[in-house]
Amino acid sequence: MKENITDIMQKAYIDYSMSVIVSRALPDVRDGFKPVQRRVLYAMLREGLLHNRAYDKCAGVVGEVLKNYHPHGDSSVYDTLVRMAQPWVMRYPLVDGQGNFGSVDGDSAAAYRYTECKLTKLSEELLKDIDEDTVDFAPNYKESSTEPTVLPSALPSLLMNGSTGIAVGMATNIPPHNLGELIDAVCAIIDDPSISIDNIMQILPGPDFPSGGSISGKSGIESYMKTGRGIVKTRGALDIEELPNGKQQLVITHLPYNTNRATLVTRIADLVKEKILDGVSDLRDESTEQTRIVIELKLGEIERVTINKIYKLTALESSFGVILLALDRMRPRQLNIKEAIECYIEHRRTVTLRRTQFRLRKAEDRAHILEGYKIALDNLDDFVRTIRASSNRLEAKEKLSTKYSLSERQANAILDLRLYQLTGMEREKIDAEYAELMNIIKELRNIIDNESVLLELIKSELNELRNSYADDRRCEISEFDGDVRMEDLIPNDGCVITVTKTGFIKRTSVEEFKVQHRGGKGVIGSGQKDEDPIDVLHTCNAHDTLMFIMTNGRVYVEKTYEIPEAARTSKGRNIVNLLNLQKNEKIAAVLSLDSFESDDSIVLCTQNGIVKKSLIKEYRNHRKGGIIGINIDEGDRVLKAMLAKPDDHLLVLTKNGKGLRFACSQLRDQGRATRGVRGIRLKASDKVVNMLVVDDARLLLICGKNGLGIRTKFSAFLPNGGAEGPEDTTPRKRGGQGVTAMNTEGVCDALSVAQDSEILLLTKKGQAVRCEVTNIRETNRGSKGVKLVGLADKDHLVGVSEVVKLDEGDDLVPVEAEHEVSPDQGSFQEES
Amino acid sequence: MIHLMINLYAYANSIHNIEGGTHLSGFRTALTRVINGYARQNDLLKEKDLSLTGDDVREGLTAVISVKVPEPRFEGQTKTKLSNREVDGIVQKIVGEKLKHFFEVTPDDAKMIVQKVIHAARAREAARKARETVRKGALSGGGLPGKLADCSEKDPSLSEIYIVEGDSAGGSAKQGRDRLTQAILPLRGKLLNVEKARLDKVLNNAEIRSLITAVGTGIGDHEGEGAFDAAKARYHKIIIMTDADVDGAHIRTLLLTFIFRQMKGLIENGYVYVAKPPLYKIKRRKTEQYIQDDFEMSQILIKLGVEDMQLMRVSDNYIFPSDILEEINAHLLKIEQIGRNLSRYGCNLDRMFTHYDKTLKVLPRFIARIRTGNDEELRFLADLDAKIGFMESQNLEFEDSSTNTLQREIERNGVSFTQRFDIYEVFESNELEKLFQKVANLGLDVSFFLPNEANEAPYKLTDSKDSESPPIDITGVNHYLQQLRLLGRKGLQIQRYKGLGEMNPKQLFETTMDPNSRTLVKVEIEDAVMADEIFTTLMGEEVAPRRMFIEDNALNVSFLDA
Repeated sequence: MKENITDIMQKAYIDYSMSVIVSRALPDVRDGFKPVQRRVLYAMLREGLLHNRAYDKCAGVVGEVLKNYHPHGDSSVYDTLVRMAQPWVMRYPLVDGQGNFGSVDGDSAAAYRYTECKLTKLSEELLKDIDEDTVDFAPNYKESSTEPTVLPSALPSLLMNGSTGIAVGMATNIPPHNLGELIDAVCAIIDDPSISIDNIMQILPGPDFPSGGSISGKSGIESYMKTGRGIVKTRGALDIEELPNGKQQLVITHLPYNTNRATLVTRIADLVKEKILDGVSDLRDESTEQTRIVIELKLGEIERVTINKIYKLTALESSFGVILLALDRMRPRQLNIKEAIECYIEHRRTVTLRRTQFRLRKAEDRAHILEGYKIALDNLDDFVRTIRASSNRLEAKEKLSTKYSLSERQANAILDLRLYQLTGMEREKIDAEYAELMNIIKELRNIIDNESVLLELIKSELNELRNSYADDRRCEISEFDGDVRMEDLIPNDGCVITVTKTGFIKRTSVEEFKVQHRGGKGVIGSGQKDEDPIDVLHTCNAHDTLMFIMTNGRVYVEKTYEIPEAARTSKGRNIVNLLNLQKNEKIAAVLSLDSFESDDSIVLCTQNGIVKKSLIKEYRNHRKGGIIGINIDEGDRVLKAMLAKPDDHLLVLTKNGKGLRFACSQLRDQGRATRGVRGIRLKASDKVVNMLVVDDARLLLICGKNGLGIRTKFSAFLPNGGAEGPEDTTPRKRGGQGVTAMNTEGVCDALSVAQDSEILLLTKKGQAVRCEVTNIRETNRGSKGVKLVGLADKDHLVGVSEVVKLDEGDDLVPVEAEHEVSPDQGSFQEES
Repeated sequence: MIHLMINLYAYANSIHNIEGGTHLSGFRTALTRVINGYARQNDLLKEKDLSLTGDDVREGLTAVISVKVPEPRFEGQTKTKLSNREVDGIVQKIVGEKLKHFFEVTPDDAKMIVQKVIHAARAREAARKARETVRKGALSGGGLPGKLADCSEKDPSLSEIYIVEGDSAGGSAKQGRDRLTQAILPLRGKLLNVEKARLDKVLNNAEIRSLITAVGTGIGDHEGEGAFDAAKARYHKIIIMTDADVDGAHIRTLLLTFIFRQMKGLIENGYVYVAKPPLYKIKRRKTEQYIQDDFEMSQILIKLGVEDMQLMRVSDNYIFPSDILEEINAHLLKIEQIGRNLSRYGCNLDRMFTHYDKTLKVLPRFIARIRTGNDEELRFLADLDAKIGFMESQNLEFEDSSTNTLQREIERNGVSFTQRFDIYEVFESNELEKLFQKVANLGLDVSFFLPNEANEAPYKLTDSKDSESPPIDITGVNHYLQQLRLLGRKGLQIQRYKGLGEMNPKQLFETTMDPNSRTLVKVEIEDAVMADEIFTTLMGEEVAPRRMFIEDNALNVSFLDA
């Protein structure tokens, strides 16, 4: 015989997968059981392991199940049995176990030769009425007896205890629910079949995990209730206790569903060891039957950060991915919550109707016999005579049957009567029984004939069970979605961001500068190579948002804390590893914001004098791949970006020494992807060197490439030229040519400085000079300026930056350095 | 596992140093160190992973190293090897720094390079394991897996190996086999799915290693030591023998996946077979018979049942000849099998038949199930028009075509009821019609399925031996087959095997392993591309296509195991 490999594979695979789907891994939507579970419960029932009897060995149950119903491995049967007994797995345990049935720590149960079990009272309800022809039975695997294809399931077991199973190509994962709420929901759907799922959710707000804890956020619940799929975020419970020595300790009292306690403790311990949970001084698992994991915090530690970290990094916050998939008429089907409950109601209708029909048949049977008795008792003397006159039983039977038109069964029953039953009292009993039976028959018929009565009956039975078994919800559902953001894990400390010319970026704590520089000479350190000076230096807080404005007008946004933290002396990481940059993009400016919700604007300025203002809000919807900040002309580049308030004034300075001061309000707010407007009209070969926000309390410092500089008032750029008297603050019109700021061949850069500022000057040949600005004589605009630095031959000034004090000490850091500052050149030449 | 050439050229002061030297070694050290460092730093290499070796790093690399050294010293007159100590450190420093910088600035390229190196490392590790596995087997018999019960025959063309599911079956097979030519290798549990696992993990698996060693061919499609070579096969019959249940089917697919992916040549040479163990044993008086599957079992029962019986057409007292009856029975079994699906619609075969249109020879295409209050009725709708007509007459409108259930409140005699409609499309109708036609052609009228007006059965079963016993009225297909099976079961002892271990060693040999009487299915690859696709679909990582396959083929399932 030959067969193609594809045929063999397909046939074998479909056999296997269909069997796993239809008769192994998935629960039936009606009773919520997989075959092996159903078989265990049924075998226990048949073995008589009821809740009010004695326990018996699990080995016996396993043996019985294997022998009669489940021809597979013993471990799968015992595991099923054990699971049904574990109160942290089953919201409502179905098996009452005696002995070691495992623990939340993941310990396994004792071998089945040690443990004993019996059914719980609740699981007997699921099996109740099984002998009243309520469900179909099928032959067992060896056709020696029969087993139920489904259980009568007086409780909605599928949703009550949930179910998990991985089949082939599909899986199911149903959370447990609160019985009281569930029964209310079932009744609500019976009462109003067109009820909406939103309304069902009012009654049945979500899962109820046996382990307690809480569920964060309702969106996942809503999703699975409506579609059958959703992700529910669960959290364990955590208390904060104060210790007498002033320390605090965190106490975990409940775990999320399906969380292994021992693993959780190990995980926390690992995090402490790895110094990720650095605020923890001690960790103890004080659990008994009640979970109690104690995490002692160091003195003065902020508990919020540690708590958030524990949630974020351990299984104390877990996701439960609901897939409400079950077998409906032997076919897997993903259901929403209403469909699942409807299937259950359908099942109960069938069961209850079949039970009623069965009872009716019984009652009518009995009534039939009683009718015979009544005829006999009414004609007692004649009956006795006839019987006495008959030669044998058969003759007596035939005579009576013909004379009183009795059925054979009636005649037999009469002949089987005992003599004492002919007494008056017994006769009354028969009459009474008959009358009662007639009532019962009437009632049963009423149920069969009236759908509403049937449904009422289903409801009242459910409500009766609700009274005996429903309990309080264990798991809290909170609106808060419990998302732990990075901000919750990182303190909002001050940072210094530096970017080098070739794009190496790092974040350094402000602290580090202080420590390094106490009493120092003001040399700011940097691990940069000589050929790679710092291009951008920016101070901000760790929670701020950084905006990187590229020379080509694109803008990238990143949280400050996402920038890798590095020591002062290290190089950092290249920007291409952090931002999704396009080819050949270079940073023009960096801004930091604490929020996009602001009325302030971002003003961009290009080398060709284009200025553009747009609201910060415009940048709210940023993407990882960057967004357009300004449409830039061919050959132009973004030079500067700054945050400005509506009543700020701006000053644009050009290489040829022109300066134009205009008001921010003269620029209208534009959208992101626009070109901007003319800021200053440039002569050919001229270009913008800088744009500043005017602060009239400060002075303007302009440095020429030739080493000369002037210090002058910003007001000098107003139309009345800083004349004496009340100042007219009307700015000039934007788009003009501006006025002469400095008489020079080439402006190097300009700064806004205070009276006590210090500046750092840098020459092309690497000379760096720090000086106080008070030493620079204040002059009018348009002058040639005074000497700032003595330049050697062919040397010229390439950069200037302000050195600001970070604290009371003489720790100095230049901020907002614009161009080519390379401050670690060593020798400082103080010049006054 | 492709082995890539390495081209490294070293020059000192423009002299080609064939043997390399300190500049080359410095370059190598830096390369390995930087790539390892980058891989660890960026989590491309996990903590527990081994470091990448120089060989991994250099695989497929082409590099030219040229240095200028003021006072070069060489080993040997032909200047084949540079020996200045200081060059090593200098090259290391420069290459290290620049490469680090390059990686930092071009992360995409860096990642690609590191991935390639990791890939090379995995391939190397896998190849090493494969070599080890094979070498052990080749050296001596002592290297063979302990569980293998080898045969005494050394000639591969006469030897065969049974790969058996589980130790319980392995025991029986070992005791029952023919020691001369039959080797037994029991594998425990479910084999690793090699389609989903990486090769190095596959080769760590003990069951797979013992399989490779036992077969002796090596694995994979690469060249060199440890590579697959069908000529080294220690057996020319490799027989997969799994239980006749669904888990056995699964293990069969897993084994075939491994063989197809790693030892394809075995199949191409026609060395791979599947054994067919029986599912049932029946015993009648003194004779025993083994049955392969449920369908065959049913057939046998029918056959035994019909042995002493005759089917008579009442209208003309025609008695069907036994050969025709056999054919009819086969069709009826098919009909019964398909008919079982009808229970999903709350219907059964006999009810369906009452709606057979004799003139058009068609069955209803739709069934509407209507429940009003506690009462339920079925409506049979011939075709789509009838369905639309029905829905219009009932004022039904479904929200969308995917739902087929609708519920509404109605009032009847002042009492309100819920009325629920389910409309099903009966996919089975087409197939049933065809079978009807076949049966009709054999002389069995369709009316066989329909009770006649006089309520008299149109067919009867009579006992050909015992004319005393009363004839049995036939009321339907199910009834007819059930009767036959009941008769067939008389005096039969049936044992269902849930596993090979259930059989005595002798029984196992007789039924499944005896070269004279066994059935072996030779595995063939008719279309390699299609086979490849099937393995990817069924055993691969992606779930969606597998699910689609299952949905498409759900009706072809040959037996379901409970």
